[in-house]
Amino acid sequence: MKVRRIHPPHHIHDSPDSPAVQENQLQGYDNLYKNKKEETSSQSMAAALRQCLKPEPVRWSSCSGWIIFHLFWIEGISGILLLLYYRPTVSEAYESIQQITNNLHYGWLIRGVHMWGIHLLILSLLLHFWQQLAQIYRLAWKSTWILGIILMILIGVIGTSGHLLPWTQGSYWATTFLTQLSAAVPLVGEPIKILIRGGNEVSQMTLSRFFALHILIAPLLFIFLALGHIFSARRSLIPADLLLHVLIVIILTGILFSLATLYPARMAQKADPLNSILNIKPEWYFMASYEVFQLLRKISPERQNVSIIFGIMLHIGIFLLLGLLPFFVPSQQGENTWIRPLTIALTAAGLLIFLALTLLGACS
Amino acid sequence: MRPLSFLRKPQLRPAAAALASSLLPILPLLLFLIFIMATLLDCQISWAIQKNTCLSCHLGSSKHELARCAQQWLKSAHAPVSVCCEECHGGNPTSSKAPIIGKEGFIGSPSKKQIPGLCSRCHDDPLYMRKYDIRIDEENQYKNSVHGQQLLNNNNQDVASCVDCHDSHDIRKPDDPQSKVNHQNIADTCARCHADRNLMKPYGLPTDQLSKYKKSYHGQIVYQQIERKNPRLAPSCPGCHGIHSGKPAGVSEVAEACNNCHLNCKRYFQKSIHSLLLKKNRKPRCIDCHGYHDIPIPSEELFAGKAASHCGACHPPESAEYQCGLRLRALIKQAKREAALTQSKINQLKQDLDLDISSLNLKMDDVTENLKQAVKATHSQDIQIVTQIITKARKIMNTIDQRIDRCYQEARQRREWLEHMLLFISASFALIAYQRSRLKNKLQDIH
Repeated sequence: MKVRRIHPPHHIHDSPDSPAVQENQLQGYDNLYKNKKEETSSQSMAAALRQCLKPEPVRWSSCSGWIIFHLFWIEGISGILLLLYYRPTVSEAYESIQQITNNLHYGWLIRGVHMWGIHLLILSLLLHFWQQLAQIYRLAWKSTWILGIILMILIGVIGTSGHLLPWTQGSYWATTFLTQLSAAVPLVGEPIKILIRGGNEVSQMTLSRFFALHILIAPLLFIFLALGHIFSARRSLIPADLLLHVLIVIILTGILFSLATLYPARMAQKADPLNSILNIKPEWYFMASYEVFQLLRKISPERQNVSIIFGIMLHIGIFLLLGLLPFFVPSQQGENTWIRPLTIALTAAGLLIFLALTLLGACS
Repeated sequence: MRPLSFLRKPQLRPAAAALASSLLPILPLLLFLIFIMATLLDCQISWAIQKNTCLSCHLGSSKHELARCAQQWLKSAHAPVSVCCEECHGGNPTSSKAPIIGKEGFIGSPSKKQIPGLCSRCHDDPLYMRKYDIRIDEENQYKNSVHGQQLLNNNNQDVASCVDCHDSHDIRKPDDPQSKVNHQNIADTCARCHADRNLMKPYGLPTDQLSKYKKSYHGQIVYQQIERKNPRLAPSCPGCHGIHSGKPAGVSEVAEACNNCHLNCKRYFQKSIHSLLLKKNRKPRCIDCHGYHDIPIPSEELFAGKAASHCGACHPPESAEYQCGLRLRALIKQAKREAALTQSKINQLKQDLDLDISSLNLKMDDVTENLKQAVKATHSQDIQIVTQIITKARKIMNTIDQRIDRCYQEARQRREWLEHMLLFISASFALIAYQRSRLKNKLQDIH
């Protein structure tokens, strides 16, 4: 297409630096910009659509992040539907979940999709994390990585806070155990525990806090940071090859529907603060962390508090190290040919340790 | 002027210093006094030992027999309330001389006949017993019992007095597990005499009550051999024979003794022909069908057969009464079979679909309660009453069956829905994948 070139009006009798000349020049550029915009918009729609639909070669590395994106909005929609019937009070939380599961039309499906959705989301998040860790030497922007680590922690928070909401024995005692861990830290531990629980015990205050955290605070923060994460990686929100994404969503829906139907979300026993359960185990994604604490406890059975503090410090250390990793890793340039095999080997070792700890925790 | 400088006024300093210097030497003295007072208040028993020469001598005695009574008293319920030796034995506990019987009121070991009177001096006093919330009618009850009449009227030394059951020195509260009159120990305490053949021979009393009781349903509950049954609620010896008024329940009392607990059975029994006969002929009593001491777990098998305590023992097989019993047996058996079937369906549902079955189990509890009620209603020998109760249980079982069917049906519907959904998803996937590949080819052609 021919582009009209508009020259700014030029007055010979004015000197180039005079204010009148400058003003005229600016006006001319404005017109130029306006006309260009009109032209692009007239030609854009079809071209943009073509660009969006243009099939590209499928690359797993670019898909894993988008899978998380799609699962997140599926979780959001199913969560909003659950929110219509869920009542966040100690006396009614369990009953409302029971009502959703047993009495509402397709309530079981929505709950099942929401429950399996977070499992799939965390699974794809871990895959995305390990995959990106293996090629960290190719990282273009440090902010992408740092935001990613924060997003990973946020998903953990969303999962943990959501786990308490059905107010079952397992969720109640898992939350008690988890919040009790922080109390081992001297000075700040106890206030932090009380801050999280909203009191000395896991109670209505804790449920209200976790509810707000699960449905508003953490997801809102997640959305803002995820936008930052996507933009910092210089990606557009509207992905190229839209049809591929439609296919991904269809596959995810199929998997979620199948899981929700074949392995539906069950009703466990209602939380009973007077009746503690012996074998408290966290969700599978925290199993490695749980096993770290268990191993530390076995190393020094007499000094429980010290082992817990050490465990907490270890976790903080690992996440700090992960967050600051791009500052240490040299990029693959020039003579740094050793960086690729070294990173892959270290990532594989880390993944193996993570899997081994998860398996150990699950079997113990 | 500097803030708070008035506190630094020189004239205040000597006064404060003087006060502090005068208080400092008194402080340890005060602390010492507080310590002494706390020790004295806290150790009433040790105080009593120090001032009671009976205890100090007996505890220090090298003879085991003499020392044991003092050691046992220290662990008894009397020690914390300072009911000391002289309350029963008399004498002067502050005297350092060895006591002599007859002097200073010392009576030595009281005779068996003296014991009820000695105990009742305190235990009959309402003002004294009120603060411990202890009943005061023990002596009166004991006087009316066979034990009391034999001892007090005939001076029979074989019978039990207070110390034979409660011990002479090791007297503990009944809720103390080590007490001889604790609910779980009382049968053994009674059996110390009643299982002694030589002792019981002159009176012609049987000596197998304890062994029979331990095999009985009541005994198994008391000795915690049956789960989910409260041992406190099953009767031990005093449950039927009375606590201090120990004597066998009379013929007319048997039903009353059983009815104290089995109220529903009584209600239905009163509607039966047996109830009229009991008033007229003093038969049949509860024990005629259920036995005594060795009362087994009741079963509908009592309605059939000629064995002792079965219906056939009194009624000939061709009689209408015997036939009625057989019908009752069939009804109860059939209902129990149906309940077992429903329970197995619930378990199967849990196994198949891993569903939350707590609400179904609650309904099943109602069924079990109704069946228990039906068994109790057999005491009325009225088939209509029993049928009515069983019908109620059947209605609940039908509801459970319907809910189980609904669960299976819903599981099937969900599967079918998933199949349709997956079919639709696969079709959409195939269509879009096809469109995508077409677009890809088209673009390649253009390029």
